[in-house]
Amino acid sequence: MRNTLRLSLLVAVGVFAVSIPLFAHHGNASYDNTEVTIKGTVTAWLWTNPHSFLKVDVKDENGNIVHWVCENNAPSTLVNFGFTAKTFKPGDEVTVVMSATSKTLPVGRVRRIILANGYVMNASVP
Amino acid sequence: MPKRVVGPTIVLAALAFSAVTRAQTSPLTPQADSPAKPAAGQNENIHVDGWNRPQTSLEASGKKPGPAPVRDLSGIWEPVPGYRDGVFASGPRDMPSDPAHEAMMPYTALGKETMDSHKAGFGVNQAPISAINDPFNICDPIGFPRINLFNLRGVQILQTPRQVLILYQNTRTWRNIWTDGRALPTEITEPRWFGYSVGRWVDPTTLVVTTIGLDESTWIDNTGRPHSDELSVEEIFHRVDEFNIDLTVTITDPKMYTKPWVPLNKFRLGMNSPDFDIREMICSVSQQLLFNELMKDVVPQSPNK
Repeated sequence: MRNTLRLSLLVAVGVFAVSIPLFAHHGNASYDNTEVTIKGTVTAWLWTNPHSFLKVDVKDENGNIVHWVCENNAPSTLVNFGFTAKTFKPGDEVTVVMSATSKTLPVGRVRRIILANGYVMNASVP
Repeated sequence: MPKRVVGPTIVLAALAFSAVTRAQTSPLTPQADSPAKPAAGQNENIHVDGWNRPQTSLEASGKKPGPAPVRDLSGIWEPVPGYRDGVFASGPRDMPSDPAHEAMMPYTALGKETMDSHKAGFGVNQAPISAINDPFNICDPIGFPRINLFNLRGVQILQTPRQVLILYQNTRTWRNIWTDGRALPTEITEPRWFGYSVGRWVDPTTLVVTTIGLDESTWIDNTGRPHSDELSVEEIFHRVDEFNIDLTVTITDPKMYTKPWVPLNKFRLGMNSPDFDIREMICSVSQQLLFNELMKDVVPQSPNK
C-alpha cells in the first residue's frame, strides 16, 4: 500500500512537471487539449450558474502559492455525476486534471478531480 | 485469505454494496446530499431529477408507449436520447454556428451586419468572455425562441381548456400559448421577451404554435443569430406516441433573413416519470458577474454542458 501511495505521488508530480512547460507555450487565452494536473488545497467550491468553480491553492516550485480557478460544468449537469453543493469544502486536498488555457493563466476546465482517498470524480462523460 | 487480496476484495464489496443500495432505493426516497465516497473507484453518469433521485425516461425504462393521446401534450419531458442533447451551446442542432452551416444561413445584408456585431460565447462569432455582448451574459431574460434553442432541458407542459403552458427548467420561466381560437394581435404595442403565442390543433396529435411580438434585444440562439420586430416563429409539436414529442421550429424574419430557416427539425422530447422533479437552473446576476470576472481572459472551447 505504501509503495502504491509513493507511486501515485510520483505519477502526480511527474504529470505536473510535464504539464507546466506545455502549458506555458501557447499564445492566446483559450482552452485547448493540453492537459494540466494540479495538486493542492481547496479554498472554495462555488456551486454557481452558468458554471461551477473549484478554487485551489497550489504551491509552486519556489514555494509561492498559486491561486487556481478550475472551471467545472453547470450544476444541472454535475448532479448527474454525483457532484453536489457539498462535495468539497475548504481545506480538502485534491488533484485536478484540466484542459489548460493556452496562456499562462492559472485557469483550467476540469476533466476530473481526484479526492484525497483516490476516488475519481469525472466532470463529464469519460 | 492472502493479505494482498483483502484490500481489493473490500473495495469490490463496497462498490457492489453501494451499487445495490442505489439500485434498490425507492424512487420517492431523496438521496443523501453527499454520500460517502469509497476509496478508489470513480463516479458514474446516472441521471437524477431535482431531488437527486435516479431517473430514466419512460421509454428507456423498458415500458412500451401507447398511442398518442388526442390533443394532449401534458407531461414532464426532456430531450432524448440524452438529457443534455438540448444544450445547443454552439447553436441549435439543425443549424449550428460552424463555418459550413453559417454559409447556409440566409442572411439579408442587415441580418449579416447585425450578426457580425454580436460577440458570442460560442459559434463563429466567439469572443473572449470580457468582449461578449450577449444580453443573456448579464442575465437579461433569455426570451423566445432562445428558450427552445439553448439549454433546452426539462420542460413540463400543462393544459387548460384555453391554454397550453410550458414550464422550463432553464431560467425557471414559462410561456403561455392560447388555444382558445383567438387571432394574433394585429398591432404590437408592447413587445415581450416571450412574445404573443397562439396554437391550433391541425390534427389530433399536432399543435402548431405561432409567436410574434418579440423583444428585439434578445438573440435567437446562443451564437448571436439576430432578429427584428418582424420575427415570427412557428413551432410544431407532434405527439408521436404516448412517450414522445417531436418539435420543429421555423424562423421567419424578412428583415434579417431572405427565407425561413429551421433550427430544429423533429427534435425529440421524451416523457419522464410523472414524479420527476425539474431542478432549478437560474441565471443569477451575482453568479453571472462572478463567472464573467473569473473567466474574463478565457475563450471557452468546450461545449457549454
